[in-house]
Amino acid sequence: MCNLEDDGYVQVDEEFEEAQKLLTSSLDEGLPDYVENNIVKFIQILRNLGIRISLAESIEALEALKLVDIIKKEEVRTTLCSLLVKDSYEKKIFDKAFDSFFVSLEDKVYQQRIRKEKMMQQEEAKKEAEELKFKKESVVDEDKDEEVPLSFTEDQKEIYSKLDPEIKEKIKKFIEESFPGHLSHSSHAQPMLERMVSGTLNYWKNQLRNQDEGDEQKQKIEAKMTGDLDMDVVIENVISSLQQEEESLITQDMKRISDEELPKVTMIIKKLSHRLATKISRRFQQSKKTGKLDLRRTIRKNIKYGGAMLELEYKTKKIKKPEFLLICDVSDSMARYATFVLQFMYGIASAVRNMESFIFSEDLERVTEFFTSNLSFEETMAKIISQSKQWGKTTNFNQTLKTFHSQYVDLLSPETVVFIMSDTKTIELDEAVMNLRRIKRQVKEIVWLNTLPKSEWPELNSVQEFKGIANMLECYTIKHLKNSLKIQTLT
Amino acid sequence: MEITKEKLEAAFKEEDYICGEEIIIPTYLALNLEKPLLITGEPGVGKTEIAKVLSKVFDTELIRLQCYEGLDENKALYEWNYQKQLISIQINKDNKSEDMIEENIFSEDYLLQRPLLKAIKRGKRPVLLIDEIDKTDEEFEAFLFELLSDFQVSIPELGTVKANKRPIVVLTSNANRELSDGLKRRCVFLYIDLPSVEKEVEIIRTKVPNIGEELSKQIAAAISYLRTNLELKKLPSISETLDWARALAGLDADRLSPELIHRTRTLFLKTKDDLDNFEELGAKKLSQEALKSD
Repeated sequence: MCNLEDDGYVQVDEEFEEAQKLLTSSLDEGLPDYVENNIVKFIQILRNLGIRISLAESIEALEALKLVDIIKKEEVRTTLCSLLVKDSYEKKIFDKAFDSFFVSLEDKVYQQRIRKEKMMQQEEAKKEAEELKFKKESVVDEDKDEEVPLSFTEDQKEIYSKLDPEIKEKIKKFIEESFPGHLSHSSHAQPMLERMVSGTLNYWKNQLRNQDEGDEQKQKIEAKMTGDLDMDVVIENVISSLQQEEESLITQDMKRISDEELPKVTMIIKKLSHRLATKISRRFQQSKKTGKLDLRRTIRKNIKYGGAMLELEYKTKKIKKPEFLLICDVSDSMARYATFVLQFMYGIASAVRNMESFIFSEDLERVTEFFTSNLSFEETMAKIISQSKQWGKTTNFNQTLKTFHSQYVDLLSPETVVFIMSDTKTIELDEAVMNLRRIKRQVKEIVWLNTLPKSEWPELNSVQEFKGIANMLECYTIKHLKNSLKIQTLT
Repeated sequence: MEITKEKLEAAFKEEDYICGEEIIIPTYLALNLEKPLLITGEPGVGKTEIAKVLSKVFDTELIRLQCYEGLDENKALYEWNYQKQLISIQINKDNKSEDMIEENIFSEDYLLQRPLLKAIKRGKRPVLLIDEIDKTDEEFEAFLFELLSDFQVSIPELGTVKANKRPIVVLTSNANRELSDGLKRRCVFLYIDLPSVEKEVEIIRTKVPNIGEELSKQIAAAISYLRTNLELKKLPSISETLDWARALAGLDADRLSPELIHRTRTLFLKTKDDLDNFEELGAKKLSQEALKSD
């Protein structure tokens, strides 16, 4: 049996066979087998590309195909699209996957050949890691040493294959020299060495990630391979095609967005913040929710009807607009992110009353006044950067919070939502945590937009500490930024 | 009428709704599978119009529920006419027993039917248009998708009311808020994109019969140029194209000129930023681009 999740969706890994059985049995005999199999495979591809499709939807899509002419490719496309896709972003993925999957046999064979060759090259490269060997005393002949290959994960092997020859040499030398002579006889030597080299490879993984290595490394589309050559070819094609379009801009790490791409990104951010601002302003202007019955006013109003309560009066709850306070890290590693976040906030500021903005690195600086003047965003940013003493320095979040307490604590109210944009890396961590707790007691919520990927969070003490105080959200792409601001406090 | 894809296509054309299979097929599927049709797309691309066309095609009533922030069951489903109830109590308090009065005032005569209940109770399958669903609260959306599953409601005083015939349900959304997965799963999805130049010419010619072919082509080309080359806050949609075309036809224009474009620019540009943006491009340049279609 397949494992149904709470929301009715099935775990992707486990369902393929079950889904296929169910789907096959739901069809009339008239539909040739290959169509069913292809559709099931296609649905699996869409799932691996991040589109959520339930079993019921898959079955319905196949049923619907009986209503149209399956010989006509465009009819099949529109039918599947209308039953499997749920928004315009998914439609883009769907169209690319469809165009790549439903191709002629010759094209399919060609695509698969290219993919096979690429996989073989990757496998060859991974084999390089086998040269990492540990010398220890031979069990058979005590006078001789034997070489034992060290054990690493596939991911680590891949990292090793990507390293420069000099770094590879250094790692090999490190292995040779770490446990000389009798030290290598210890049973702990090999596992210890494996852990040490793993640590080095993890360090290089981060370094490689931080280097600009072209589109393939830049892209962060959430997709996973299936292990089936036919399907993986399509998944790869879709990912690489998305990279070339606007969508890739909203899913790539903000700090990697190049200067040439800036105008396009600025436009996207303007659109997103405009949409959000409209939404915020509508919500707070048009709320018609009524509160409790106001008996005093109701009785007064109904005296004319002899006391029969024909017209009711309600106590209306005054909804206050939330107050937003943004504290944005503009230290060296964060400055690029800050540009985008400030831009986003600048767009929202038009709809939000009492929006306060601060930037910080070694200390705190208030920048609200820049945003309230009638300058364009570009002019505002140029002014902030030229006048700020904080842009591009090191981070001291504790000093920042101390300054906040001494000068700006009056800005806080129980309605305030504080947004902090930072990678959490700071000196004087313990004091900073204590000071943030003090702020937390005075506000409605603290939302921490963390520019580090979630996978790196467990390794950092600072993340663990701040996570206990603030609602921490992963935020290194424009898509993350957009989603973070969809949270209940804002919308 | 028995629905086939071809019949639906012809009926849409007859109602002057110009579209391709990308709209006909999802609509046809929604009708056949008896699922709600969820339409998204830029404002003004003709989302609401589909529901109107369907009501004409099936010669049935169009029941519209316009969504807004704070919409609740009372406004969407039903509520008791308590003023009428109170008056009835006052009139009958001396000549009827308490039980009789209660039975009387919780009867259908005192029920105010709102769009959803109306749609359920109609004998002939109506078209239920739930317009701008993204403007409602999430709680209302949850209530709605329960209703859309069974098409029955329970009124405690009257019992369960079940739809005689499932209404044809059309939901529209401007994507201001992401809809829940639950609701999206229950619907056939249709995204209406802005039309191609050729399609837009056809739409103009159909909706503005007194306009010349040459001018229609120029208008469609100019609008397409604006959509693709200018970074506008509000892209001109089909409804703006038609407004512009009607205005130009009203001015007896037979071809676009820089002066004409300048005088009528507020019909297709709706924000100050967009107007400023357009000033940089200039009416002359747009006119040149539009005349290339000749």
